[in-house]
Amino acid sequence: MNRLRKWLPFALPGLAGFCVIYIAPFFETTYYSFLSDIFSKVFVWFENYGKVLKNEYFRLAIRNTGVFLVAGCMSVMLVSVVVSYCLMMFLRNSSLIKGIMLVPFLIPSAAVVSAWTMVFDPIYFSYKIPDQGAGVFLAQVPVLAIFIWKNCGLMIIIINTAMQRVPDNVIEASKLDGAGAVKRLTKIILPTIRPNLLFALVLTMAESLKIYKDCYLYYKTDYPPEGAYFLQNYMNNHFAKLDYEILTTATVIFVAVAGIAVAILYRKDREYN
Amino acid sequence: MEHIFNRILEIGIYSGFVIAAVLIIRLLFRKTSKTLLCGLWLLVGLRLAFFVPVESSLSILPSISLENKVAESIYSKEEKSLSSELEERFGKENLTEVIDGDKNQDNVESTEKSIIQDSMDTITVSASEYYELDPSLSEDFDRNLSLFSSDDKNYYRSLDKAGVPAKKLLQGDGAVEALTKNNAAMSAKEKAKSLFNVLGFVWLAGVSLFLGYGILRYLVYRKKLETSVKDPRGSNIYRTDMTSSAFVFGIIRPRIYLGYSVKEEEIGHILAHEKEHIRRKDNWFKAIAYVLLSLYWFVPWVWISYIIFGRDIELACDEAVIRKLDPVKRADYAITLIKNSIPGSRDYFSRRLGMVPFGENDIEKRVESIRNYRKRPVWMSATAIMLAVSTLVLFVLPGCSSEDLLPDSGEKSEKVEDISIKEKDLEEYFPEKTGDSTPGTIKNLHYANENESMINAMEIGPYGEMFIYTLSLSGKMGYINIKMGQENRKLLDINYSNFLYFDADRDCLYTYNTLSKKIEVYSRDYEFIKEFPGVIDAFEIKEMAVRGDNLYILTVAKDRYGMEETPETENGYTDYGEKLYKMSLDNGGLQELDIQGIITMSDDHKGYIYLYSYRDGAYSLDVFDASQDKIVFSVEIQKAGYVKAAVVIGEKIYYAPDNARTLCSLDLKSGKISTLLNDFGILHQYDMDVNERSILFLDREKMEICSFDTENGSVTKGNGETRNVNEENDVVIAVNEPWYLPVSVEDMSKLSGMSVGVYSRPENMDQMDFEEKQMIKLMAGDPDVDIFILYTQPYCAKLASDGVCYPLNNSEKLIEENAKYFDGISDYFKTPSGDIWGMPVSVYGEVMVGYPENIKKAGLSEDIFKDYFSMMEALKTIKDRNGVFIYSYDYGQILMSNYADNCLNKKTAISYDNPMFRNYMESMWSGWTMYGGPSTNHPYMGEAVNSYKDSNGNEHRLAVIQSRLLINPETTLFHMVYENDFFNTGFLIEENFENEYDALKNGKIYPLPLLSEDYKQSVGIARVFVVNPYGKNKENALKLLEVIAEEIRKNGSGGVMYKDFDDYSTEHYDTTSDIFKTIYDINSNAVVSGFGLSGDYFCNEVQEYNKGNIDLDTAIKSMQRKEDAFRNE
Repeated sequence: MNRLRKWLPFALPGLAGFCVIYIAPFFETTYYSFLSDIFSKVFVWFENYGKVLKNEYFRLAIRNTGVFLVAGCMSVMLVSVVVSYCLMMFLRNSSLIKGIMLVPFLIPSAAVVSAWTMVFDPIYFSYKIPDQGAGVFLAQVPVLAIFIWKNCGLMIIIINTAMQRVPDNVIEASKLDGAGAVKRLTKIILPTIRPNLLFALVLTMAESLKIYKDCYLYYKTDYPPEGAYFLQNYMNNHFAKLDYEILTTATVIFVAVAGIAVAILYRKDREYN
Repeated sequence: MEHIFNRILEIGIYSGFVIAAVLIIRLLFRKTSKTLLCGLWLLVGLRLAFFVPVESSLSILPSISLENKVAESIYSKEEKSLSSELEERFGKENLTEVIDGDKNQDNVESTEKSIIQDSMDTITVSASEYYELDPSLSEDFDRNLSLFSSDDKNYYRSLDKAGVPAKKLLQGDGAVEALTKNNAAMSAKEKAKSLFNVLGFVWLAGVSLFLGYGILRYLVYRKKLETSVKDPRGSNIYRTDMTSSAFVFGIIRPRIYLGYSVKEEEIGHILAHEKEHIRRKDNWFKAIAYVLLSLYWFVPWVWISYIIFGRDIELACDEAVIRKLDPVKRADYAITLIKNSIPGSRDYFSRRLGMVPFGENDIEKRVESIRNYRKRPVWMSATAIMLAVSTLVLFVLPGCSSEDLLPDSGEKSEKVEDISIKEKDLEEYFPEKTGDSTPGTIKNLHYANENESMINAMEIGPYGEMFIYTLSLSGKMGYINIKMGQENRKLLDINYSNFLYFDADRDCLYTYNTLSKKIEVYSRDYEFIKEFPGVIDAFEIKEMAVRGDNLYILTVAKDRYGMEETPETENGYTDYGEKLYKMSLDNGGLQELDIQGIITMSDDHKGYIYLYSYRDGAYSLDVFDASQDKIVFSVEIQKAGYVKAAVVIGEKIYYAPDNARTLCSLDLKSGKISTLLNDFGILHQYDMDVNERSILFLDREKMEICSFDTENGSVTKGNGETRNVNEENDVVIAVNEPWYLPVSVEDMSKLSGMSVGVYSRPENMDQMDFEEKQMIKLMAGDPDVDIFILYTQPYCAKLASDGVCYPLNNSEKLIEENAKYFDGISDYFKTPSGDIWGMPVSVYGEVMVGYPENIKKAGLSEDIFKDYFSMMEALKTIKDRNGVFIYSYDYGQILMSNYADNCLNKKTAISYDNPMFRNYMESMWSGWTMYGGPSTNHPYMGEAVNSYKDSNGNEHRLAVIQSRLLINPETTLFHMVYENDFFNTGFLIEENFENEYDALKNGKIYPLPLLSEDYKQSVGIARVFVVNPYGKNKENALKLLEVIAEEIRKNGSGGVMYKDFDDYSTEHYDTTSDIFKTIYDINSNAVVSGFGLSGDYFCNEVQEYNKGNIDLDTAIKSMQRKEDAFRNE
């Protein structure tokens, strides 16, 4: 209680602002999702939810976003771990290199997208990829590339810093015991830095939603190919049509799913510890 | 930034003069006290530091504006390059031909290069700086200058208001030059501005560098001097090993730092010198000098002055010290100087700024000055001071321009000095009006009363302008309301004129038929009575007046807004060829009166007729006596200038000046001009009339007849019908433009028995904005509007699916009508549950009119129109008459936008605003660009209305609007007819055509090429009636729609939408003709594309296909996928 009283004057302004600007409108958003129409405001119970969940394009969007989330986060984590390990092993955790790797994160998307269109030909990725089957997800490749390029830097810094904190004696001991580099990584370092890894993972997941900006800039259309039609596309298109009820419904569904996922993650993590 | 930099630059340049003067004085007075010389530098410092722009009228320096100078130089370079570029591109001969438009009236073929268009595309006019009169105009106009805007009246109006003679810009004669000159000037100004901006930032960087450096050094030194030791000799003397001599450091608390290595005997001199510095506050001055230097770091003479200032400071201090010493000691002093200035000493501060060191600064000079020191006579100093002061006056401040030197004229000159009118003349020729007509006349103009035969309506004038004429039958004069246009065809027969005059004595209307060029007489009920035989060759009538048995007619030969040669403007006066005729009403005898330079006529139906004219280089008001047929008195008026309209009441002239939105009055007795009304509204040039003591004028912007009472200065406004929505209306319709109503409001009211109010778009609101606002009103549940007329924009998808509209199938009649349409149309207007949500006002479908012979001549097969892509393939091979490939992917976009129909993105719509469409049009025939857009008097274009009268006097409404401009029948391959009301024009009924429209007859009609086999032809629906479910009067709205639907069918103004041939009114359609059948077939198979996808989707695929990056199937599949996503997500 004491601690709370100490924190309150500092935390209150931020918290209050957060509530007013973010939380309260969110409740209004959920209220909208129960209306038939933003203009006629007829209360329909869960019709919108039904409508949205049944909509094939919503499902498509969810599918694509999910695939991208998994693929993107996994790739980023993988690359980050490998590179930070290399940093630790060969480059003595050089902060200069870490700083350089951070640069992609800082460059504005619009500046970079044109370069990316030279690397990944948009004609090919918009029109010449298969319509069915697994090949559909080829459309996500450019976005994935941008995503990895952008976010690895940040993750590398986080993970590398975490790796540095692994006590040296443990590593030395494992070396003595004959553990090779890979074994050290997988059996000692990674388990030790699990909370940091989790943090990095959540950060990556949040970033994977923001990468929509680059996706839009790259494909230059409201309706990208099958594999790249993300949830944000769905939402934006409905926004343009003033379908606020669908927008908000989709938002609520997404928040619910994401919230549950993150909660499960953290719960599992705590259990493990 | 550029302002600041401009100032700095200016001051920097001016300071050069001061510095030069100071240096000269220095040179002349180097033998005098050095302190004085330092004082001179004070002047320099003052000049550099004084930012406030103060101008001295006595200064001999010129006043320049750097930015303008730069702009001018850029402009002159550009101007040369522009014309030479044009010459290069098109050849000198061609250029002259285009520019000299007059010659080209006959041989249009030779001017087929879209020179102006090409050059226009690269030139932008930034309106925001140019049109300062009315800031709202800049939005209107701020785009790539489009000569071919379909919204011409706004364009002309805006130009007119800004004082740019619209004609000049829109025709060949000097058009290129005029416009490019303007543009070049504008762009030069912009370039200069941006150049200065950039330079400003560079300067700022330099300043910060210098200042930063200075601050850094100060801090570094301070740190380094921490180890110094206080010296007992004085409170501010310290010993330090940082220097081998001495210096002063510190500004607020200056301290003398002595080196350890200084010998005892020298300390005295050194200290004296340094103390002198402190006493004179040299540390301050040096610091300030450094700051100024950093501000003006790029000015070389400021550096020079800084260095010399530094030296002068030292010299002055030396002098001050030496003054107190005797010659022997002076020598010692000099020796000290020399000793302490050995270069290369391990002196940390060997080259410093901001520090006042002993020694080192120009030792030679100093020793010399010590040697030469003597006391100088006072007069020398005095002279020096006087010179300094005069320098200040003459050089320090920049000169001011000569205009400012004129004595202040006080109030803006309202005195009209050149009116010399005597009391007697005033009484005789400008009798006091004592009329008792109250502004209540306006009430009679209000639409309400059938018995008064009042008709308020909008008229589409020759240039798409609207005129309201209202008749005040209870008054003695007035204007007359005419309905023209498609609403009520029976009134189309009245005239083709925009002027009417009501003769109260004979109870008839006079008008001028611009086709037959004769005066016609109509009864009050618009029945034709007779036509006077005399032919008056004029463009239109400005004013008429009846006196006794004579009708005086003031005509104008040239259109103020038209396309012809610009007449010379002298003193603001433009001669539009005004002539005054006199016609006898008994025998029709016509006589032209020889009076030159008339601008406008003021007639109050009795007494004298007043003519406002321009003669012999001066404006004047003439009193014209009808009984003598000549001018009996004339008053010279200069200050009023050219006017749009003027009336005379008593001893005052009320006029609307040419370039301002005001109503002014000029008192003939005192010559005083007063502004009576501001923001007067847009006044058509002739729409002012006088009635006893009130002036009636038409505010074209708000479409209101207003009455201005000259006695009490009140303005009463009448209501144009379309703005009349009041509590009592039974039904309120919201529509973009009032003439979109297929049935006139009066007829609607009559037939339905209800009072109909119409709420329509204000002049200054964009059509799209208004549409959107209407949409929002509808969706927000605004109860005030009952019926909306909307385009089938994307929102209609919402209407269709969600039923944000009142179901029309509550009326059985409307169900019946809906069933009469083609299935594609009737189904489109039903929601999934079967409710009819809208009723189409007009339906149009795009068809191609192709010319098979020309197609064959071009080497193509006749079935190029069967599908879009094959047509594009074929067209890729065609060159236009200039040998340029006419094909461009823009065609794709245009056709695509047809399919898409009403794209979200306005830019891809079919209109002249759309550069793609323009490009398309021009490639077919470029010559017309010289003559402007559709609103033009170009002989090949015909009148710029949608209708024309043939030789029998029958009115035909044209189907094609833009594409009829493709005139040359020999080479035109095809054009798209985008308003498909072919049948209404009598195109089929009448066989004989005027010359240019024969071409259409030879064309063959094809449906628009299909996108793909299963992509159906689309039919665009222009306007839809939608009933507001939240409106107060839904039932009434339904009743009204029933009336309208029937009228549409009877009058045939709806276009082709009925399944059954019998439903077409035979009066307006020739259902037996082939063309009718063709179009009927096309439309019967079409689907309604009610909402457009954004042109983006199509454009991307089409572009890529045309570049060859993807093939046809992929393109189609992709487009279909997008469309599907749009509909179903």
